[in-house]
Amino acid sequence: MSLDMLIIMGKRVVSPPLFVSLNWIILVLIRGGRLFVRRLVYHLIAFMVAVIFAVVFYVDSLELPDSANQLPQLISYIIAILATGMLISAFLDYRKNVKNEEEEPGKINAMRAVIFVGIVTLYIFILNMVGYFITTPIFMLSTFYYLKSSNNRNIVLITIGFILFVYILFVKLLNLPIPMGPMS
Amino acid sequence: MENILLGLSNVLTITNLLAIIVGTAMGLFVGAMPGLSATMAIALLLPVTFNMDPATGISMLASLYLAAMYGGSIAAILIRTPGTPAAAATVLDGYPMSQNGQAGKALGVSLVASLIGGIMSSIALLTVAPILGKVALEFGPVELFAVAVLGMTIIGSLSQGSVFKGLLSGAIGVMVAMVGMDSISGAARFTFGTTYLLSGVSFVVALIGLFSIPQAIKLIQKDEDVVRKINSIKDKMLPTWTELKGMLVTIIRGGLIGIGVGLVPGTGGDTACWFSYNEAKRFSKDKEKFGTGFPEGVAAAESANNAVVAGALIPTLALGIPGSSATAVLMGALMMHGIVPGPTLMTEYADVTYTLIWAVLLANIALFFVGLAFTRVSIHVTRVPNKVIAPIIVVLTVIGSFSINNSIYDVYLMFGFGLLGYFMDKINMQTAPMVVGLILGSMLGNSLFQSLLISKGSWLIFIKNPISLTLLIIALLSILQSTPLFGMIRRKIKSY
Repeated sequence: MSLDMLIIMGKRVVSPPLFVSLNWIILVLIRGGRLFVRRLVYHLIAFMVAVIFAVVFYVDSLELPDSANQLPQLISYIIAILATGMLISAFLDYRKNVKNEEEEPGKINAMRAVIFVGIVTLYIFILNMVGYFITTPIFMLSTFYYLKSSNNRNIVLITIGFILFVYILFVKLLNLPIPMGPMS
Repeated sequence: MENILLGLSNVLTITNLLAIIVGTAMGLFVGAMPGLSATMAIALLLPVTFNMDPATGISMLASLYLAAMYGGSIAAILIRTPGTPAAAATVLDGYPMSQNGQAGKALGVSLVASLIGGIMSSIALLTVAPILGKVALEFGPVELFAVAVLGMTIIGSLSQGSVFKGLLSGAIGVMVAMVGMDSISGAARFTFGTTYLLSGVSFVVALIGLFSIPQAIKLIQKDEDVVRKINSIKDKMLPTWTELKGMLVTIIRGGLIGIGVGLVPGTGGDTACWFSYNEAKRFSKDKEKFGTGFPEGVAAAESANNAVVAGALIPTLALGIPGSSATAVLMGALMMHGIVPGPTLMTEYADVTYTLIWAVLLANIALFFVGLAFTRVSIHVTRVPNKVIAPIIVVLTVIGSFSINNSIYDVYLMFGFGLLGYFMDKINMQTAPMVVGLILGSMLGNSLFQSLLISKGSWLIFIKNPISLTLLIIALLSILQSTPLFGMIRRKIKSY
């Protein structure tokens, strides 16, 4: 097989690996692909994020007094160099893997991870408005239920037990600030 | 010397002793849960110590770290899943032992080996750290800069994955540490117009997110294995004197390996346990018994991983360079109490530092008794499913990140770092160098500024100073040894 062939969802798509287009990245992200193709795409994204990060900080540091911009500018260069090195070795790995056609490791449930992250995001945004001791039990019950963590009786018992534990330890004993929402 | 005694008298108060016992008990249970690592446990329990006296809080966290190392062996021995990565080598002989009905003895051997390895390395910590600290006190900004650079390159190049990723992770950490008001010029650096970022990115917030959230996501995205069979403990735990005498050499060797591995930044309990296990096998007369349920195998791995704890604290306390992710979190706990990491830890903050050192030593003894009393009970927590642990981790990270500054933005930031950590894991980039970068960032910045002030802007000052030159050369070598270039040279040399 030619090195310049890429495999997406089992179909072989011709694309020169040194000039990967944005379209292609998005295609792999949406439709998935074999592990080594996905890995290359992740590295490309990591490279872009790192370089953008370095450039933004470099530009921002230009307005700072000398004493405050020495290290940041040095680090910007270092980040750019390291990110490039990382990308080159990712390409080399990719070429090696196209030849070897490595095995896929055990499958993970990506959708479940996305939904879990979604629930957590919702939880922390509502948290401040409604308060910790109202949102947390709802969060715990719904994620336990969604993940089928245990049977319904255990889910309720774990939630109640844990909330009591948090309340006694963090609020009563340790006096820590907890977002209380309207209860405060 | 007087500091050593001061530390001893500090640690012998009822509160501190209680903190050590509570810390060890918590560590034991947390370590026994297969989904939780020692580092994450310390990160999650940081808020518990917020309102405590610094010495008490840090003693508790250090005891927890130590006990989690033993706790990891419980799950390794009983259900073949190491509770922490550092117990991976314990599985090899521990699990066969428990299948032969010797679960109790395996755990007992693990406990005794942990005790001896731990005490050995605590004594090393108590003697080496003050000497190293004294040397470090002579360091000016030029040397300090070189020390910090060395710490960064070693942790970046020795941690798993490619050297580019390790160093990149560290460099990004240093850059993030630059956010906020610059301590020298007072300029608002990289705040992008927000007042929230003026005080900088809270290191503890970043670390809670980086170490906990990725693990929580990983726990739920895999389907769990079908009901794990748990071997029960039916036999006596403590080994007899003759049995112990037979493996004493292995335990002591393991302890020494653990101290050595702990000293080197970037390597930790997981490296030490394999190293010690392999060495024990190499030196043993009964090589073929290893892997079949041979107590010496358990002893080798367990004495090494407990010895790592105090070993890793040596560079952390003497130089302010955390050698592992767990010591980085401990360092974060110190910073939270306003204690600045660096060579002054052994002098200016001697009361806290020496209390901590003694606490580590006493925690080894506490662990022995807590282990004898609670190991049988802790078997039950190895049954807790990952899908129950994951949401609880999230709930605890929220409390931790919120209560530091009483700010909801810190919770968002924590979660942001958590997602970043998850994606870093996707490309096999370690988060530990980033955390170390966050800690060392300000030390790097300040020492660089002062050095350039002395040299009137010439960067050659780092090469002219013999100490910093040596350190920087070692730093360069640490990077080069993990590149293909070095492999080529090595092969060349061999071929001659």
